[in-house]
Amino acid sequence: MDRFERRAQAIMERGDRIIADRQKKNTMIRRISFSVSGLCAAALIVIGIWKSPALHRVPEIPQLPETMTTEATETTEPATEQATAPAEEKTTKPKKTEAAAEAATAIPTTAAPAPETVTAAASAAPVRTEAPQAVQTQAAVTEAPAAATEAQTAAEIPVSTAEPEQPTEPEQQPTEPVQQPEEGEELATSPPLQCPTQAVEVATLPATAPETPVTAPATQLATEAAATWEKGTSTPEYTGRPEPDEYGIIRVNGNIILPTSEEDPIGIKTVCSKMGYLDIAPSYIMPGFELTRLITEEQSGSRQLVFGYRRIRNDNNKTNYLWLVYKVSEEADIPENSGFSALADPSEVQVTEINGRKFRYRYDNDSQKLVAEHLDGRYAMYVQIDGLTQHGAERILMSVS
Amino acid sequence: MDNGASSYLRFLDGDNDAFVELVREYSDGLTLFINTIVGDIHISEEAADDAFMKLYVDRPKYKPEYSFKTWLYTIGRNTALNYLKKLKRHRFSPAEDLSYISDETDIEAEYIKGEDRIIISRCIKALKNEYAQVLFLVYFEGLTVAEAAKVMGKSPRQTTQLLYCAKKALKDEMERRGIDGQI
Repeated sequence: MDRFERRAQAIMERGDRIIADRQKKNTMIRRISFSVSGLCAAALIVIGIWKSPALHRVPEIPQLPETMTTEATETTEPATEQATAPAEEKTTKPKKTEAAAEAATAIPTTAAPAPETVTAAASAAPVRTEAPQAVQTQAAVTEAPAAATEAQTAAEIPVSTAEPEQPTEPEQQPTEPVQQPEEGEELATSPPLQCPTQAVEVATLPATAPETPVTAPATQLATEAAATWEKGTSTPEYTGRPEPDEYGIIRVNGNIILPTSEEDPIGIKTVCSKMGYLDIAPSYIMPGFELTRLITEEQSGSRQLVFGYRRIRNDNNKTNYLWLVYKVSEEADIPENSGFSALADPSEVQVTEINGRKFRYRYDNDSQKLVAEHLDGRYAMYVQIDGLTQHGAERILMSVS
Repeated sequence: MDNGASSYLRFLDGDNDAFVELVREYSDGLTLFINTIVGDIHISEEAADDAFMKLYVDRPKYKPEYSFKTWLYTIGRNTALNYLKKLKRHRFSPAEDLSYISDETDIEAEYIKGEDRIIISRCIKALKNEYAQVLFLVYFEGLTVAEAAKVMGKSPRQTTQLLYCAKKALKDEMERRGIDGQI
Protein backbone atom coordinates (compact mmCIF):
# COMPACT_ATOMS: atom_id res chain seq x y z
CA MET A 1 0.00 0.00 0.00
CA ASP A 2 1.69 3.15 -1.15
CA ARG A 3 1.18 6.55 0.43
CA PHE A 4 -1.54 7.49 -2.03
CA GLU A 5 -3.58 4.45 -1.08
CA ARG A 6 -3.10 5.20 2.60
CA ARG A 7 -4.11 8.76 1.98
CA ALA A 8 -7.22 7.71 0.01
CA GLN A 9 -8.07 5.14 2.69
CA ALA A 10 -7.84 7.75 5.40
CA ILE A 11 -10.04 10.11 3.39
CA MET A 12 -12.61 7.39 2.79
CA GLU A 13 -12.69 6.40 6.46
CA ARG A 14 -13.28 9.98 7.50
CA GLY A 15 -15.87 10.31 4.75
CA ASP A 16 -17.68 7.18 5.92
CA ARG A 17 -17.81 8.55 9.45
CA ILE A 18 -19.21 11.81 8.19
CA ILE A 19 -21.81 10.01 6.06
CA ALA A 20 -22.85 7.85 9.04
CA ASP A 21 -23.17 10.93 11.22
CA ARG A 22 -25.24 12.66 8.56
CA GLN A 23 -27.56 9.69 8.28
CA LYS A 24 -27.93 9.54 12.03
CA LYS A 25 -28.61 13.26 12.13
CA ASN A 26 -31.14 13.00 9.31
CA THR A 27 -32.94 10.19 11.09
CA MET A 28 -33.03 12.25 14.26
CA ILE A 29 -34.26 15.33 12.43
CA ARG A 30 -36.96 13.30 10.69
CA ARG A 31 -38.23 11.86 13.95
CA ILE A 32 -38.15 15.21 15.70
CA SER A 33 -39.88 16.93 12.81
CA PHE A 34 -42.66 14.34 12.84
CA SER A 35 -43.12 14.79 16.57
CA VAL A 36 -43.01 18.56 16.42
CA SER A 37 -45.36 18.73 13.47
CA GLY A 38 -47.78 16.46 15.32
CA LEU A 39 -47.63 18.70 18.36
CA CYS A 40 -48.12 21.77 16.20
CA ALA A 41 -51.11 20.19 14.51
CA ALA A 42 -52.61 19.33 17.87
CA ALA A 43 -51.94 22.85 19.11
CA LEU A 44 -53.57 24.31 16.02
CA ILE A 45 -56.61 22.12 16.49
CA VAL A 46 -56.87 23.12 20.14
CA ILE A 47 -56.48 26.80 19.28
CA GLY A 48 -59.03 26.43 16.51
CA ILE A 49 -61.53 24.85 18.84
CA TRP A 50 -60.75 27.40 21.52
CA LYS A 51 -61.29 30.28 19.13
CA SER A 52 -64.41 28.73 17.68
CA PRO A 53 -67.45 30.96 18.01
CA ALA A 54 -69.38 28.02 19.38
CA LEU A 55 -67.42 28.24 22.61
CA HIS A 56 -68.15 31.91 23.04
CA ARG A 57 -71.86 31.46 23.14
CA VAL A 58 -73.33 32.23 26.46
CA PRO A 59 -74.61 28.99 27.91
CA GLU A 60 -78.32 28.80 28.26
CA ILE A 61 -79.54 29.02 31.78
CA PRO A 62 -81.32 25.77 32.37
CA GLN A 63 -84.96 26.52 32.77
CA LEU A 64 -86.64 24.36 35.26
CA PRO A 65 -90.03 23.06 34.35
CA GLU A 66 -92.67 25.27 35.70
CA THR A 67 -93.72 24.12 39.09
CA MET A 68 -96.73 25.22 40.92
CA THR A 69 -96.11 24.64 44.56
CA THR A 70 -98.77 25.26 47.08
CA GLU A 71 -97.11 26.44 50.21
CA ALA A 72 -98.78 26.43 53.55
CA THR A 73 -98.18 30.12 53.94
CA GLU A 74 -99.92 30.87 50.70
CA THR A 75 -103.18 29.52 52.04
CA THR A 76 -103.26 31.80 55.01
CA GLU A 77 -105.03 34.52 53.19
CA PRO A 78 -108.42 35.33 54.65
CA ALA A 79 -111.31 33.49 53.17
CA THR A 80 -113.86 35.42 51.28
CA GLU A 81 -117.56 34.93 51.09
CA GLN A 82 -117.41 33.71 47.54
CA ALA A 83 -117.94 30.06 46.95
CA THR A 84 -114.61 29.69 45.20
CA ALA A 85 -112.61 31.81 47.58
CA PRO A 86 -109.62 30.14 49.24
CA ALA A 87 -110.13 29.11 52.79
CA GLU A 88 -107.47 29.67 55.35
CA GLU A 89 -105.68 26.50 56.01
CA LYS A 90 -104.91 27.20 59.58
CA THR A 91 -108.49 27.93 60.46
CA THR A 92 -110.03 25.50 58.09
CA LYS A 93 -108.27 22.44 59.28
CA PRO A 94 -109.61 22.40 62.82
CA LYS A 95 -113.02 23.31 61.58
CA LYS A 96 -112.95 20.58 59.06
CA THR A 97 -111.76 18.21 61.71
CA GLU A 98 -114.72 19.07 63.81
CA ALA A 99 -116.98 18.78 60.89
CA ALA A 100 -115.48 15.46 60.06
CA ALA A 101 -115.92 14.26 63.54
CA GLU A 102 -119.50 15.27 63.46
CA ALA A 103 -119.97 13.69 60.15
CA ALA A 104 -118.34 10.52 61.38
CA THR A 105 -120.67 10.45 64.30
CA ALA A 106 -123.70 11.01 62.23
CA ILE A 107 -122.66 8.77 59.43
CA PRO A 108 -120.60 5.75 60.44
CA THR A 109 -120.06 4.67 56.89
CA THR A 110 -117.66 7.51 56.35
CA ALA A 111 -115.24 6.14 58.87
CA ALA A 112 -113.39 4.17 56.24
CA PRO A 113 -111.21 6.33 54.06
CA ALA A 114 -112.47 6.66 50.55
CA PRO A 115 -110.41 7.39 47.49
CA GLU A 116 -111.79 10.87 47.35
CA THR A 117 -110.49 11.42 50.83
CA VAL A 118 -107.02 10.71 49.67
CA THR A 119 -107.32 13.06 46.81
CA ALA A 120 -108.42 15.74 49.18
CA ALA A 121 -105.35 15.06 51.23
CA ALA A 122 -103.29 15.41 48.18
CA SER A 123 -104.88 18.71 47.54
CA ALA A 124 -103.90 19.91 50.94
CA ALA A 125 -100.33 18.83 50.33
CA PRO A 126 -98.10 20.76 47.93
CA VAL A 127 -99.34 20.12 44.45
CA ARG A 128 -97.13 20.34 41.42
CA THR A 129 -98.43 20.72 37.97
CA GLU A 130 -96.44 21.39 34.85
CA ALA A 131 -98.25 23.66 32.54
CA PRO A 132 -100.35 26.74 32.52
CA GLN A 133 -102.89 24.88 30.43
CA ALA A 134 -103.58 22.75 33.39
CA VAL A 135 -104.25 25.83 35.41
CA GLN A 136 -106.79 27.02 32.95
CA THR A 137 -108.50 23.68 33.01
CA GLN A 138 -108.61 23.72 36.72
CA ALA A 139 -110.14 27.12 36.74
CA ALA A 140 -112.81 25.94 34.39
CA VAL A 141 -113.61 23.01 36.55
CA THR A 142 -113.70 25.17 39.57
CA GLU A 143 -116.55 27.15 38.24
CA ALA A 144 -118.93 24.21 38.47
CA PRO A 145 -118.36 22.56 41.79
CA ALA A 146 -120.41 19.57 42.65
CA ALA A 147 -122.25 19.39 45.87
CA ALA A 148 -121.09 15.90 46.44
CA THR A 149 -117.50 16.93 46.13
CA GLU A 150 -117.99 19.61 48.66
CA ALA A 151 -119.50 17.17 51.05
CA GLN A 152 -116.71 14.71 50.56
CA THR A 153 -114.12 17.30 51.08
CA ALA A 154 -115.65 18.45 54.29
CA ALA A 155 -116.11 14.95 55.60
CA GLU A 156 -112.68 13.69 54.73
CA ILE A 157 -110.48 16.46 55.96
CA PRO A 158 -109.36 14.52 59.06
CA VAL A 159 -107.65 12.00 56.91
CA SER A 160 -105.86 14.67 55.02
CA THR A 161 -104.62 16.33 58.17
CA ALA A 162 -103.43 13.06 59.55
CA GLU A 163 -101.24 12.08 56.61
CA PRO A 164 -100.94 14.92 54.23
CA GLU A 165 -97.64 13.84 52.68
CA GLN A 166 -98.70 10.47 51.38
CA PRO A 167 -101.21 10.66 48.64
CA THR A 168 -102.55 7.29 47.78
CA GLU A 169 -103.31 6.36 44.26
CA PRO A 170 -107.01 5.96 43.66
CA GLU A 171 -106.77 2.60 41.93
CA GLN A 172 -105.13 1.09 44.97
CA GLN A 173 -107.91 2.05 47.25
CA PRO A 174 -111.17 0.23 47.54
CA THR A 175 -113.83 2.31 46.03
CA GLU A 176 -116.64 2.54 48.42
CA PRO A 177 -119.66 4.65 47.96
CA VAL A 178 -119.66 7.41 50.42
CA GLN A 179 -122.86 8.18 52.06
CA GLN A 180 -123.44 11.82 51.85
CA PRO A 181 -124.94 13.67 54.73
CA GLU A 182 -128.04 15.55 54.02
CA GLU A 183 -127.78 19.15 53.25
CA GLY A 184 -129.70 20.25 56.23
CA GLU A 185 -127.54 18.42 58.65
CA GLU A 186 -124.35 19.64 57.08
CA LEU A 187 -125.40 23.19 57.22
CA ALA A 188 -126.41 22.87 60.79
CA THR A 189 -123.48 20.95 62.14
CA SER A 190 -120.51 21.84 60.03
CA PRO A 191 -119.69 25.52 59.63
CA PRO A 192 -116.92 24.95 57.11
CA LEU A 193 -119.46 23.75 54.66
CA GLN A 194 -120.60 27.27 54.29
CA CYS A 195 -117.27 27.98 52.75
CA PRO A 196 -116.13 24.65 51.45
CA THR A 197 -112.79 24.03 49.92
CA GLN A 198 -113.41 22.87 46.46
CA ALA A 199 -111.39 20.07 45.11
CA VAL A 200 -110.90 19.93 41.42
CA GLU A 201 -109.19 17.41 39.31
CA VAL A 202 -106.18 18.58 37.37
CA ALA A 203 -106.30 17.65 33.77
CA THR A 204 -103.59 15.38 32.53
CA LEU A 205 -100.84 17.04 30.56
CA PRO A 206 -99.98 16.03 27.05
CA ALA A 207 -96.30 15.40 27.57
CA THR A 208 -95.52 14.58 31.15
CA ALA A 209 -98.82 14.40 32.89
CA PRO A 210 -99.14 11.57 35.36
CA GLU A 211 -101.88 9.10 34.87
CA THR A 212 -103.00 9.55 38.39
CA PRO A 213 -105.21 12.57 38.65
CA VAL A 214 -104.09 15.06 41.18
CA THR A 215 -106.50 17.30 42.89
CA ALA A 216 -105.78 20.68 44.27
CA PRO A 217 -107.72 23.48 45.74
CA ALA A 218 -109.00 25.54 42.90
CA THR A 219 -108.31 28.77 44.65
CA GLN A 220 -104.69 27.94 45.14
CA LEU A 221 -104.27 26.94 41.56
CA ALA A 222 -106.00 30.04 40.38
CA THR A 223 -103.69 32.11 42.50
CA GLU A 224 -100.69 30.36 41.05
CA ALA A 225 -101.94 30.79 37.54
CA ALA A 226 -102.37 34.49 37.98
CA ALA A 227 -99.02 34.86 39.61
CA THR A 228 -97.04 32.87 37.08
CA TRP A 229 -95.41 35.95 35.61
CA GLU A 230 -95.23 37.77 38.87
CA LYS A 231 -92.98 35.38 40.68
CA GLY A 232 -89.92 36.47 38.82
CA THR A 233 -89.40 33.08 37.27
CA SER A 234 -88.60 32.63 33.66
CA THR A 235 -91.13 31.08 31.41
CA PRO A 236 -90.73 27.33 31.30
CA GLU A 237 -89.36 25.57 28.33
CA TYR A 238 -91.68 23.14 26.69
CA THR A 239 -90.40 19.91 25.42
CA GLY A 240 -93.62 18.97 23.73
CA ARG A 241 -95.45 20.60 20.88
CA PRO A 242 -95.02 24.35 20.87
CA GLU A 243 -98.05 26.22 22.00
CA PRO A 244 -98.19 29.88 22.76
CA ASP A 245 -98.78 30.87 26.31
CA GLU A 246 -101.37 33.37 27.41
CA TYR A 247 -99.22 36.20 26.06
CA GLY A 248 -98.68 34.55 22.72
CA ILE A 249 -95.08 33.62 23.44
CA ILE A 250 -93.79 30.31 22.14
CA ARG A 251 -90.77 28.66 23.63
CA VAL A 252 -89.30 25.76 21.74
CA ASN A 253 -85.99 24.18 22.71
CA GLY A 254 -84.59 27.38 24.12
CA ASN A 255 -85.87 29.59 21.33
CA ILE A 256 -88.30 32.33 22.20
CA ILE A 257 -90.79 33.37 19.55
CA LEU A 258 -92.81 36.49 20.13
CA PRO A 259 -96.21 37.09 18.59
CA THR A 260 -95.65 39.31 15.58
CA SER A 261 -97.96 41.20 13.34
CA GLU A 262 -97.73 43.78 10.59
CA GLU A 263 -97.90 46.59 13.10
CA ASP A 264 -95.40 44.92 15.39
CA PRO A 265 -92.95 42.90 13.29
CA ILE A 266 -90.70 42.16 16.24
CA GLY A 267 -93.39 41.33 18.77
CA ILE A 268 -92.08 43.22 21.76
CA LYS A 269 -94.84 45.79 21.75
CA THR A 270 -97.53 43.14 21.69
CA VAL A 271 -96.07 41.35 24.68
CA CYS A 272 -95.52 44.58 26.58
CA SER A 273 -99.06 45.68 25.89
CA LYS A 274 -100.51 42.41 27.13
CA MET A 275 -98.38 42.43 30.23
CA GLY A 276 -99.02 46.03 31.11
CA TYR A 277 -95.78 47.72 30.22
CA LEU A 278 -94.94 50.58 27.91
CA ASP A 279 -95.79 49.39 24.43
CA ILE A 280 -92.83 50.93 22.68
CA ALA A 281 -89.93 49.08 21.17
CA PRO A 282 -87.29 49.43 18.47
CA SER A 283 -88.75 48.81 15.08
CA TYR A 284 -85.30 47.96 13.74
CA ILE A 285 -82.97 45.38 15.17
CA MET A 286 -80.16 44.52 12.81
CA PRO A 287 -80.00 40.98 11.43
CA GLY A 288 -78.26 38.40 13.52
CA PHE A 289 -79.78 39.31 16.85
CA GLU A 290 -81.66 36.47 18.48
CA LEU A 291 -83.96 36.68 21.44
CA THR A 292 -82.37 34.49 24.07
CA ARG A 293 -83.77 35.88 27.30
CA LEU A 294 -87.26 36.81 28.35
CA ILE A 295 -87.41 37.34 32.06
CA THR A 296 -90.00 38.80 34.36
CA GLU A 297 -88.87 40.12 37.67
CA GLU A 298 -90.87 41.40 40.57
CA GLN A 299 -89.49 43.50 43.32
CA SER A 300 -91.10 45.35 46.12
CA GLY A 301 -93.44 47.82 44.53
CA SER A 302 -92.33 47.26 40.98
CA ARG A 303 -92.04 44.66 38.32
CA GLN A 304 -90.06 44.54 35.16
CA LEU A 305 -89.81 42.65 31.93
CA VAL A 306 -86.45 41.99 30.32
CA PHE A 307 -85.82 41.10 26.69
CA GLY A 308 -82.29 39.91 26.00
CA TYR A 309 -81.04 39.75 22.42
CA ARG A 310 -77.71 38.35 21.40
CA ARG A 311 -75.72 38.37 18.18
CA ILE A 312 -72.56 36.38 17.52
CA ARG A 313 -70.42 38.05 14.90
CA ASN A 314 -68.38 35.90 12.60
CA ASP A 315 -66.00 38.64 11.55
CA ASN A 316 -64.38 39.21 14.92
CA ASN A 317 -65.86 36.48 17.10
CA LYS A 318 -67.41 39.09 19.34
CA THR A 319 -70.86 38.98 20.76
CA ASN A 320 -73.28 41.88 20.72
CA TYR A 321 -76.03 42.19 23.28
CA LEU A 322 -79.21 44.19 23.27
CA TRP A 323 -81.15 44.48 26.47
CA LEU A 324 -84.61 46.02 26.62
CA VAL A 325 -85.95 46.44 30.11
CA TYR A 326 -89.50 47.58 30.81
CA LYS A 327 -90.35 48.58 34.32
CA VAL A 328 -93.57 49.47 36.08
CA SER A 329 -93.66 50.92 39.52
CA GLU A 330 -96.83 50.22 41.45
CA GLU A 331 -96.40 53.08 43.85
CA ALA A 332 -94.68 56.23 42.65
CA ASP A 333 -93.07 57.70 39.58
CA ILE A 334 -89.74 56.28 38.61
CA PRO A 335 -86.93 58.79 39.21
CA GLU A 336 -84.21 59.61 36.71
CA ASN A 337 -80.96 57.68 36.64
CA SER A 338 -82.63 54.77 38.37
CA GLY A 339 -81.54 52.41 35.69
CA PHE A 340 -77.95 53.29 34.82
CA SER A 341 -75.35 55.05 36.91
CA ALA A 342 -73.67 56.09 33.66
CA LEU A 343 -76.49 58.55 33.09
CA ALA A 344 -75.88 60.34 36.36
CA ASP A 345 -73.45 62.84 34.84
CA PRO A 346 -75.55 65.27 32.81
CA SER A 347 -72.54 66.57 30.90
CA GLU A 348 -72.06 63.25 29.17
CA VAL A 349 -75.69 62.44 28.61
CA GLN A 350 -77.50 63.28 25.42
CA VAL A 351 -81.18 64.03 25.45
CA THR A 352 -83.18 63.36 22.35
CA GLU A 353 -86.76 62.97 21.37
CA ILE A 354 -87.61 59.84 19.48
CA ASN A 355 -91.10 59.70 18.01
CA GLY A 356 -92.38 62.09 20.61
CA ARG A 357 -90.73 60.37 23.55
CA LYS A 358 -87.85 61.81 25.49
CA PHE A 359 -84.82 59.58 25.79
CA ARG A 360 -81.65 60.20 27.75
CA TYR A 361 -78.73 58.18 26.52
CA ARG A 362 -74.98 57.94 26.53
CA TYR A 363 -72.53 56.03 24.33
CA ASP A 364 -69.14 55.04 25.73
CA ASN A 365 -66.55 54.58 23.02
CA ASP A 366 -64.15 52.65 25.21
CA SER A 367 -66.55 49.94 26.18
CA GLN A 368 -68.73 50.33 23.07
CA LYS A 369 -71.80 50.47 25.24
CA LEU A 370 -74.92 52.52 24.80
CA VAL A 371 -77.31 52.99 27.69
CA ALA A 372 -80.60 54.86 27.41
CA GLU A 373 -83.67 55.41 29.49
CA HIS A 374 -87.13 56.71 28.88
CA LEU A 375 -89.37 57.58 31.79
CA ASP A 376 -93.10 58.03 31.65
CA GLY A 377 -94.44 58.36 35.15
CA ARG A 378 -94.63 54.96 36.71
CA TYR A 379 -93.42 53.37 33.52
CA ALA A 380 -89.86 53.20 32.31
CA MET A 381 -87.95 51.70 29.43
CA TYR A 382 -84.22 51.03 29.56
CA VAL A 383 -81.99 50.12 26.64
CA GLN A 384 -78.48 48.75 26.80
CA ILE A 385 -76.52 47.83 23.69
CA ASP A 386 -73.09 46.24 23.99
CA GLY A 387 -70.44 45.83 21.34
CA LEU A 388 -71.89 47.92 18.54
CA THR A 389 -70.49 51.09 17.05
CA GLN A 390 -72.13 54.34 18.00
CA HIS A 391 -73.81 54.54 14.64
CA GLY A 392 -75.22 51.04 14.89
CA ALA A 393 -76.37 51.44 18.46
CA GLU A 394 -78.01 54.79 17.80
CA ARG A 395 -79.73 53.37 14.76
CA ILE A 396 -81.49 50.82 16.96
CA LEU A 397 -82.32 53.42 19.59
CA MET A 398 -83.69 55.94 17.12
CA SER A 399 -86.08 53.35 15.72
CA VAL A 400 -88.03 53.19 18.95
CA SER A 401 -91.64 53.89 18.28
CA MET B 1 -12.95 11.10 -21.13
CA ASP B 2 -9.55 12.01 -19.79
CA ASN B 3 -8.00 14.00 -16.98
CA GLY B 4 -9.69 11.85 -14.35
CA ALA B 5 -13.24 12.45 -15.44
CA SER B 6 -13.73 8.78 -16.20
CA SER B 7 -12.33 7.81 -12.83
CA TYR B 8 -14.66 10.20 -11.09
CA LEU B 9 -17.66 8.86 -13.00
CA ARG B 10 -16.70 5.33 -12.01
CA PHE B 11 -16.43 6.50 -8.43
CA LEU B 12 -19.93 7.95 -8.67
CA ASP B 13 -21.10 4.54 -9.81
CA GLY B 14 -19.74 3.03 -6.59
CA ASP B 15 -16.17 2.07 -7.49
CA ASN B 16 -13.94 3.12 -4.59
CA ASP B 17 -10.81 2.09 -6.48
CA ALA B 18 -11.53 4.91 -8.89
CA PHE B 19 -11.33 7.28 -5.94
CA VAL B 20 -7.90 5.90 -5.07
CA GLU B 21 -6.88 6.57 -8.66
CA LEU B 22 -8.02 10.17 -8.36
CA VAL B 23 -6.02 10.63 -5.17
CA ARG B 24 -2.97 9.08 -6.74
CA GLU B 25 -3.22 11.26 -9.83
CA TYR B 26 -4.17 14.65 -8.38
CA SER B 27 -3.33 14.81 -4.70
CA ASP B 28 0.25 16.05 -5.02
CA GLY B 29 -0.53 18.66 -7.66
CA LEU B 30 -3.53 19.87 -5.71
CA THR B 31 -1.46 20.04 -2.54
CA LEU B 32 1.24 22.09 -4.18
CA PHE B 33 -1.33 24.37 -5.77
CA ILE B 34 -3.02 24.93 -2.43
CA ASN B 35 0.42 25.53 -0.97
CA THR B 36 0.70 28.57 -3.20
CA ILE B 37 -2.45 29.87 -1.46
CA VAL B 38 -1.87 29.01 2.17
CA GLY B 39 1.91 28.91 2.19
CA ASP B 40 2.18 25.85 4.45
CA ILE B 41 2.64 22.41 2.98
CA HIS B 42 1.01 20.63 5.92
CA ILE B 43 -2.05 22.82 5.89
CA SER B 44 -2.10 22.42 2.15
CA GLU B 45 -2.23 18.66 2.51
CA GLU B 46 -5.15 18.93 4.93
CA ALA B 47 -6.96 21.29 2.61
CA ALA B 48 -6.35 18.96 -0.32
CA ASP B 49 -7.74 16.11 1.75
CA ASP B 50 -10.78 18.20 2.50
CA ALA B 51 -11.25 18.82 -1.19
CA PHE B 52 -11.17 15.09 -1.83
CA MET B 53 -13.45 14.62 1.13
CA LYS B 54 -16.00 16.83 -0.58
CA LEU B 55 -15.86 14.61 -3.60
CA TYR B 56 -16.25 11.50 -1.49
CA VAL B 57 -19.03 12.70 0.80
CA ASP B 58 -21.06 15.15 -1.23
CA ARG B 59 -20.40 13.52 -4.62
CA PRO B 60 -20.98 16.72 -6.58
CA LYS B 61 -22.11 16.50 -10.16
CA TYR B 62 -19.31 16.95 -12.70
CA LYS B 63 -19.98 19.09 -15.74
CA PRO B 64 -18.06 17.78 -18.76
CA GLU B 65 -17.86 21.29 -20.26
CA TYR B 66 -14.82 21.90 -18.03
CA SER B 67 -11.79 19.72 -17.70
CA PHE B 68 -11.81 17.64 -14.56
CA LYS B 69 -8.51 19.14 -13.43
CA THR B 70 -9.86 22.67 -13.67
CA TRP B 71 -12.98 21.64 -11.80
CA LEU B 72 -11.00 19.85 -9.08
CA TYR B 73 -8.56 22.72 -8.66
CA THR B 74 -11.47 25.14 -8.36
CA ILE B 75 -12.86 23.01 -5.59
CA GLY B 76 -9.39 22.90 -4.06
CA ARG B 77 -9.03 26.65 -4.17
CA ASN B 78 -12.40 27.24 -2.53
CA THR B 79 -11.59 24.63 0.06
CA ALA B 80 -8.25 26.27 0.75
CA LEU B 81 -9.86 29.65 1.23
CA ASN B 82 -12.48 28.16 3.59
CA TYR B 83 -9.72 26.31 5.34
CA LEU B 84 -7.83 29.50 5.91
CA LYS B 85 -10.93 31.04 7.49
CA LYS B 86 -11.39 27.99 9.63
CA LEU B 87 -7.77 28.01 10.69
CA LYS B 88 -8.18 31.53 11.99
CA ARG B 89 -10.61 30.16 14.59
CA HIS B 90 -8.96 26.92 15.55
CA ARG B 91 -6.93 24.19 14.11
CA PHE B 92 -7.64 20.60 14.91
CA SER B 93 -6.66 17.45 13.13
CA PRO B 94 -6.63 13.91 14.49
CA ALA B 95 -3.09 12.63 14.88
CA GLU B 96 -3.83 9.44 13.01
CA ASP B 97 -5.05 11.41 10.03
CA LEU B 98 -1.69 13.16 9.79
CA SER B 99 0.32 9.99 9.53
CA TYR B 100 0.53 10.21 5.78
CA ILE B 101 1.66 13.85 5.74
CA SER B 102 4.96 14.01 3.99
CA ASP B 103 7.70 16.53 3.95
CA GLU B 104 7.39 19.34 1.44
CA THR B 105 10.66 18.45 -0.14
CA ASP B 106 9.55 14.91 -0.78
CA ILE B 107 6.38 15.98 -2.47
CA GLU B 108 8.18 18.56 -4.52
CA ALA B 109 10.85 16.15 -5.54
CA GLU B 110 8.35 13.51 -6.54
CA TYR B 111 5.92 15.78 -8.31
CA ILE B 112 8.23 18.28 -9.98
CA LYS B 113 10.68 16.36 -12.00
CA GLY B 114 13.97 18.03 -13.00
CA GLU B 115 16.38 20.20 -11.09
CA ASP B 116 15.59 23.36 -13.00
CA ARG B 117 11.89 23.11 -12.27
CA ILE B 118 12.60 22.56 -8.62
CA ILE B 119 14.70 25.70 -8.52
CA ILE B 120 11.96 27.63 -10.30
CA SER B 121 9.42 26.23 -7.88
CA ARG B 122 11.43 27.46 -4.93
CA CYS B 123 11.75 30.89 -6.52
CA ILE B 124 8.00 30.95 -7.09
CA LYS B 125 7.42 30.50 -3.36
CA ALA B 126 9.11 33.81 -2.75
CA LEU B 127 6.61 35.62 -4.96
CA LYS B 128 3.21 36.93 -4.09
CA ASN B 129 0.51 34.28 -3.74
CA GLU B 130 -1.31 35.29 -6.92
CA TYR B 131 1.90 35.22 -8.94
CA ALA B 132 2.78 31.87 -7.52
CA GLN B 133 -0.69 30.49 -8.26
CA VAL B 134 -0.80 31.56 -11.87
CA LEU B 135 2.76 30.44 -12.55
CA PHE B 136 2.12 27.08 -10.90
CA LEU B 137 -1.09 26.49 -12.82
CA VAL B 138 0.33 27.48 -16.18
CA TYR B 139 3.88 26.16 -15.99
CA PHE B 140 3.63 23.20 -13.66
CA GLU B 141 0.05 22.00 -14.15
CA GLY B 142 -0.07 22.82 -17.85
CA LEU B 143 -3.36 24.63 -17.74
CA THR B 144 -4.25 27.21 -20.32
CA VAL B 145 -4.67 30.82 -19.35
CA ALA B 146 -8.45 30.44 -19.61
CA GLU B 147 -8.43 27.38 -17.36
CA ALA B 148 -6.13 29.09 -14.91
CA ALA B 149 -8.47 32.08 -14.92
CA LYS B 150 -11.37 29.77 -14.18
CA VAL B 151 -9.55 28.18 -11.27
CA MET B 152 -8.47 31.51 -9.82
CA GLY B 153 -11.87 33.11 -10.28
CA LYS B 154 -10.56 35.81 -12.55
CA SER B 155 -11.17 36.83 -16.12
CA PRO B 156 -8.73 35.63 -18.81
CA ARG B 157 -7.60 39.21 -19.41
CA GLN B 158 -6.81 39.65 -15.74
CA THR B 159 -5.05 36.32 -15.71
CA THR B 160 -2.95 37.23 -18.73
CA GLN B 161 -1.92 40.48 -17.07
CA LEU B 162 -1.23 38.63 -13.86
CA LEU B 163 0.86 36.05 -15.66
CA TYR B 164 2.95 38.77 -17.28
CA CYS B 165 3.64 40.43 -13.98
CA ALA B 166 4.36 37.08 -12.37
CA LYS B 167 6.93 36.16 -14.97
CA LYS B 168 8.64 39.50 -14.51
CA ALA B 169 8.67 39.08 -10.75
CA LEU B 170 10.02 35.53 -11.11
CA LYS B 171 12.81 36.76 -13.37
CA ASP B 172 13.79 39.40 -10.84
CA GLU B 173 13.77 36.81 -8.08
CA MET B 174 15.94 34.44 -10.04
CA GLU B 175 18.41 37.22 -10.89
CA ARG B 176 18.51 38.16 -7.25
CA ARG B 177 19.41 34.59 -6.42
CA GLY B 178 22.17 34.58 -9.09
CA ILE B 179 20.25 32.25 -11.38
CA ASP B 180 19.79 32.86 -15.02
CA GLY B 181 16.43 34.44 -15.53
CA GLN B 182 15.62 32.45 -18.67
CA ILE B 183 12.39 30.66 -18.13
